[in-house]
Amino acid sequence: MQKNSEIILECKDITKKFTITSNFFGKKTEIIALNNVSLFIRKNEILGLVGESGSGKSTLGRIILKLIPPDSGTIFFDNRDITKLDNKAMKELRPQIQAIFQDPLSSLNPRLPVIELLREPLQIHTKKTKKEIDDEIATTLEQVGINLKDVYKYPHEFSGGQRQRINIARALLLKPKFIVADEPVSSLDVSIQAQILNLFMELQKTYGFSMLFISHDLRIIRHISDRIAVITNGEIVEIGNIEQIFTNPTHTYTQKLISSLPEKHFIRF
Amino acid sequence: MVKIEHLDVSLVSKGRLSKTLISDINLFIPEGKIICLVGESGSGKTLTGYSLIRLFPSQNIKITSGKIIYKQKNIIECTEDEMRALRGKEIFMIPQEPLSALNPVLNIETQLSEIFYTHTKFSKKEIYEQCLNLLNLVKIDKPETRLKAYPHQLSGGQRQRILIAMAIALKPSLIIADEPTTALDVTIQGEILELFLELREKMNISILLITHDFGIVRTIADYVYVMYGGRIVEEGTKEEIFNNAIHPYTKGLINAVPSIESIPKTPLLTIPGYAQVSEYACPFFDRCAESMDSCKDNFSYTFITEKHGVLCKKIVK
Repeated sequence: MQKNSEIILECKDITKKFTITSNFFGKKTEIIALNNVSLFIRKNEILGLVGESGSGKSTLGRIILKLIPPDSGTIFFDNRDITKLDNKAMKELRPQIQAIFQDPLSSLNPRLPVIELLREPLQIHTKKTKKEIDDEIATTLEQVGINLKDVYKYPHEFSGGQRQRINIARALLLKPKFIVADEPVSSLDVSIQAQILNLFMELQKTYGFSMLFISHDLRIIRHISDRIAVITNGEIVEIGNIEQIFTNPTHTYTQKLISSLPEKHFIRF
Repeated sequence: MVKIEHLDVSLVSKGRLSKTLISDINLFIPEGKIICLVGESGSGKTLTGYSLIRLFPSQNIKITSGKIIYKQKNIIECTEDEMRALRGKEIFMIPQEPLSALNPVLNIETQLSEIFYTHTKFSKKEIYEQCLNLLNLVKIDKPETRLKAYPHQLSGGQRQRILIAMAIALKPSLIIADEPTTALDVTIQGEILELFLELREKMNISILLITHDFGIVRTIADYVYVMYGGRIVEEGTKEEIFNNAIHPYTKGLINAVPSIESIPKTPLLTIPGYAQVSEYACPFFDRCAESMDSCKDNFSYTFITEKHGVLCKKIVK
């Protein structure tokens, strides 16, 4: 195995159960959303997490972000156990772990213009002056391809692709070491999807962050990731680099996933 | 079998034409073929589908010119009664979302048998047998118990199968399926597409499949129409579209999706800008990398071969 210092984030035996009141009399049923999930992500690496709806892929993303607590298991970020951190200690760590979500509109406050939306994280987490903050916003916006003239517009005035660019800019402003991207392109049109994927690859080269890229689309995952983790029914059934997964899938579920790609009739092994 | 000629659909407010939504659509659906209508959101592909059954999301949307010929009859001139007899029985449209298309407070049996009560004179027992038969056809396991189930008790894939069962109930000649697999998981998606292929084989039904995913087109289509900004910009057999695409938009769309053969981590070819319709003759003018000044002037849809047409100035001599 590789040295510990190379690893930015490691999950060990994460288990999460949800209790739902299922029937009329209030009888409770437990659903195991994640069952002993372990994975690690290296520095400068994109790990693609692929699974179908209900497989627990988003739950894992939210647990890593500490938006919900796991029932058991530990998460190490930069060799620190973050599961035991209290809110205050976590706040110091937040700038290093950022998130990008699926719906670019609902993740932006509709009542703030873009400039305010982008100032907010810097005002909370840094002690920079207003001028410094605005300069930084300008450079980042240029990198993600948003026109500086548009900063006083509100989120609803942008198209879906542009909104996602704003979300990406906001995540990048704090120079995070790690980004969780939960289905960041699945609500976008095909031609816009490609633009955003290119942007991710480009920015990852410039900034060198690590990323957990969650998606249901194996084709996208294959294109953008260094390694792929396949999750189903709350369990990770296979982790490996792209070649391993695609040329020699060992788990039956991975095989099923690959063979169900629409282009299967054109694949020749 | 179905032929759409020069169809225009517009938004009409207070008796005045305010915006043309789709224009000059020419589309031909032969018997027993799967025709794919591809485009991004807002390109008018769903609206084209709705025109065939003359159901629009708003009363202000109207067909303003053109013909839709179905079995020697112009659908546009049909009366409302004639249309009602046609919808469901001859042409069936499977709407986009399998959950919202089913009534949440009625069980599957009630909803399935409704079609037979409306359109046929079958007895109760015959209808029940027909329903069971249909569920078997669309490969739903334990059909007897599923008939008693309510939509929320079924998975997305099963609900889509129920809708397909409804679609084939009266053996229509045309099924319009609007993004039938978009809301489904990939493994289920494959199964549903296979079901479509099988139904076409068994029952000789034509299918107009509306989608944005070229992966699906590659698997299932016989003939492809590509739409942009309310116009058809290219059409052709699957082989023509994938091997000899001419329109820059078609080429862009095909390349924008990372395929199983693409090299990971390389930049994807993209179409610049966002979905906007140009005011010039070519709807794609503003985003086109190959546009010329002469594209602004009017030019007509051109057929390069019998089975490949394109709306692009490059081709017009």
